[in-house]
Amino acid sequence: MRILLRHLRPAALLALAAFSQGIGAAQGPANWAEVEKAARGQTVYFNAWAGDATINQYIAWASDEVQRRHGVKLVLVKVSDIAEAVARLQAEKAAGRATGGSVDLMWINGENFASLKAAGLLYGPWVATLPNARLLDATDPTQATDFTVPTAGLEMPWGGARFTFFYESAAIPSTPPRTPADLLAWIRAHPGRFTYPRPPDFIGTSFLKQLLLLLAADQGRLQRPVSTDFDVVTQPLWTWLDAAHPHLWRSGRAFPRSSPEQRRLLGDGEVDWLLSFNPFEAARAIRARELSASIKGLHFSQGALGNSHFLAIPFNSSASAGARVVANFLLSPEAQARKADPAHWGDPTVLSLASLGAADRARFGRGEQDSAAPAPVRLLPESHPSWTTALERAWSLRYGAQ
Amino acid sequence: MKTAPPGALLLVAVVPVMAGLIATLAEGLSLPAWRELLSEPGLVQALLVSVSSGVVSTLVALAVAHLAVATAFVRHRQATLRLAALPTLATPHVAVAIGLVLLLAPSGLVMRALSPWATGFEQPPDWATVQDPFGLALIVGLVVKEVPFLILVLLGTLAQVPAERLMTQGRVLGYGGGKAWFVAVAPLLQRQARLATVTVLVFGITNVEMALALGPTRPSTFSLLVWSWFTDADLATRSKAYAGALLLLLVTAGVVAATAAASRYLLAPGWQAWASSGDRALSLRLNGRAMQLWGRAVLGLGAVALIALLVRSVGGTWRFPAVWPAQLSLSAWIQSVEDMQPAVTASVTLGLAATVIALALVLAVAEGLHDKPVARGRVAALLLVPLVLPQMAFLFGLQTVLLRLELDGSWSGVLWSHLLFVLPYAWIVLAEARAQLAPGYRIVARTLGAGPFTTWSRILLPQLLRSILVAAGLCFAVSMALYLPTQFAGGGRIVTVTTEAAVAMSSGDLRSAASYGVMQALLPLALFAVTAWVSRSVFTRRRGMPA
Repeated sequence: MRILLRHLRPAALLALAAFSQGIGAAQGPANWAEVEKAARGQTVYFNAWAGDATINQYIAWASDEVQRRHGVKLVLVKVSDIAEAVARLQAEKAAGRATGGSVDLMWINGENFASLKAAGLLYGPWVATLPNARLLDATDPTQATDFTVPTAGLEMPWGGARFTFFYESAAIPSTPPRTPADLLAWIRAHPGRFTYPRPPDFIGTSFLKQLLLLLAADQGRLQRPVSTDFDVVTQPLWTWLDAAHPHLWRSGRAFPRSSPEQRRLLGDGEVDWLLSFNPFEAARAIRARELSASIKGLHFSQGALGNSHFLAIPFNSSASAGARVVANFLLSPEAQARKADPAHWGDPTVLSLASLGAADRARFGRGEQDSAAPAPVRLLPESHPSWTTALERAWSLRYGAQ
Repeated sequence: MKTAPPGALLLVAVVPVMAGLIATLAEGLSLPAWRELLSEPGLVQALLVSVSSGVVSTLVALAVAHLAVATAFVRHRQATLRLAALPTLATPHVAVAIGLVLLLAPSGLVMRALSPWATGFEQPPDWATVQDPFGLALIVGLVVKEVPFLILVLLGTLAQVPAERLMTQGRVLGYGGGKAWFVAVAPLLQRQARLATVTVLVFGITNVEMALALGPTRPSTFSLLVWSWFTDADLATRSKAYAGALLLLLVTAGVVAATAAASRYLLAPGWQAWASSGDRALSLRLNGRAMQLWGRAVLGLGAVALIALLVRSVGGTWRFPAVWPAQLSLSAWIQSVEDMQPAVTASVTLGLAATVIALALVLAVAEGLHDKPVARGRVAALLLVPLVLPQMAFLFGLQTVLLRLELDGSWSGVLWSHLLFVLPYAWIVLAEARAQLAPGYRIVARTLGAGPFTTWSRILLPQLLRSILVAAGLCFAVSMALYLPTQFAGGGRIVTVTTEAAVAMSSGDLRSAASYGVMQALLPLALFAVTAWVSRSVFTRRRGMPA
């Protein structure tokens, strides 16, 4: 089935793109008042990864705002992995539930989007119908394609992500390592002080991809689906990991389960590093007194793995109007600026600052100015989602059991 | 009093379990799924960790609980022991596990207290003191959580055993207190506690919530693996999860059968030989310090874990080796009081509703069966099924059933799933208590012209009140602690303090996990306090009443 879909993709995408433009024109912002009317009184169940108290507080703020402004009740359904919601949608489809589904809005990207899209479990295209969609940064390649899969208006960019390394500057006073080779040398010289979340954790798998993008002979190869050359392409990654693992935290016999768990390890002084997709995470965590003020951020000098994260509406949502109103609010300059502010969350915006008025533009930029934020580098594109699954499987075969 | 037919109970409690089991069987009996399951890397190791942590923790917990009860008996400290067991008993597994992580991790309180003056560590040592590959930390966690439960079960059965007489006879025959106890009394207690032991063993092998915090990660325990497959986005993985749930059922059944056989054919004959050998050399002094140490250590560890939770929930930045957080802030609490409110409301309403329904159903059914011991035994056996099966074996299927009934993600669906686990406890406490009431009171009341309801409410109910209060506390605590059933039936929409604590734990946010853990411990303890107060104020006015 998957192989079939892979071959069908280009043609299907063309058709979808044309279709989405048609829909966009038909129910465009002219009808937005209708959507807002339909949304009033709806309850939107928003399924999101909720392992971070600051993110939950930001969503709580958004719930109050959409209730006050639009009469939409936004309920956060906390999941420890959004794949749980994907699994539930599949169970609902199998049980034949075409309306009244349990999820109305979900926070996804990457392989979860790819599998929902392939299974036809998404509502839309709908993004072009949002009044605030015109503010999106059209020049950002990570918004048009999600892990190389075209988003086709089925999911709305919500925030940007750049793979970032945070380190304890008190423990690494000289120039910190900025290449895979230098990092390996540092790890060997400082046994037990580096680790990464255990794949298939999102950050853990992304660390593998960040390394592979820099170690692989041909970066472009990762843009195309995995095939028989997987072992050859990924060999440099395994060589690096084999060399590093004996010198990791717990000698590579155990790994933190998630990035927040690693953040706790850094905060307690068990390790000197934290990996994150959020370049302003330390700025936020220092304010929240979870990390000490001596934490600094860096990107690898040859580029940082970058992507966007998105909001999507499932096929059987009974509150799709409400979900669109919530999404439109989350895309507003006010909501995006609050999200980008490390005092609240510190998640990079997806808006094009050039398209904003001077007053709105002035709300942004607090994260970049923070001393814990890394200097920007060029973005490395995400690999095809099939690499994610294949890397996770290969990792667990190699290191999953002792 | 109207009695209810046992069918009502079975409809509520047994039919869903059976339906869930059948659905799991239907989904899990697929050859490709099994092929994929058996080719899983680290499968055997994951199973070994699950089984060994379950078996070892059960054996250790049993030994500690027996010792604690024996020493409390000879020192006439049963009430004290019951009180000491209460905090950890009332605290859900997730909270105990989080507390133990805060205590035992390399950067935990124990190591901080010893560093750097005793250990020389300026940085936390790179030791796997939790999530160790052998599951030792998991075993410690299970022992800490299960010992109080077993202590309460053993104390409960102690009342039904002529322990004082047996001990006197043993002493008259020249045996030391230790041997007299372990030859004459302990086997009787253990026979009564068999089912409780099986539930402890099954939970030890199959639990998800404690393994999440304390268990190894490479590979994790088998039940955690199955759980992760069930929540995977890929449909193919889901059938592997069903097959995995069946394998878990098979393995657990095998282990239970093997343990039963071992205790019957190896342990029992050996015990008997020792008992009849006439050997009087064993000088176990039950009131000696060494004997008391074990129970105290385990119960103490549970209490200290709760304190660790409390400290962490108010601590800000806290670099090793500071014993105390650099700043104490109530900010996490002030923030989370608002965040916690929906979860606390859901936990409390679910707990109270499940408790009230369970008590009413059980009292109504038990009233009709008070003179039918055989029927009572059958009902008990069926009600106990959810406790002796791995939860995942029928919860996967049950979710499908709820989905088809459109009850998934609803408060009532979650309530139903809680009843499955609350009813057996209510039955264990209340059905026997009702049956043991002397029939004379009822007959006299009826003869004097009281109607059936008046007889029940004025004569029988007051006599049952103490048992009802005990059952209420237990039911509420059980409902409070349920993680997997809430997660499956609630579809993530119904959040309780326990699911929130697990989400925070699994994403490593220990500070909010700690504040949820504190809340998890506080709510059931508050109810226990209320029932204790009610019981005291009622019974001081009814002195001399048989309770």
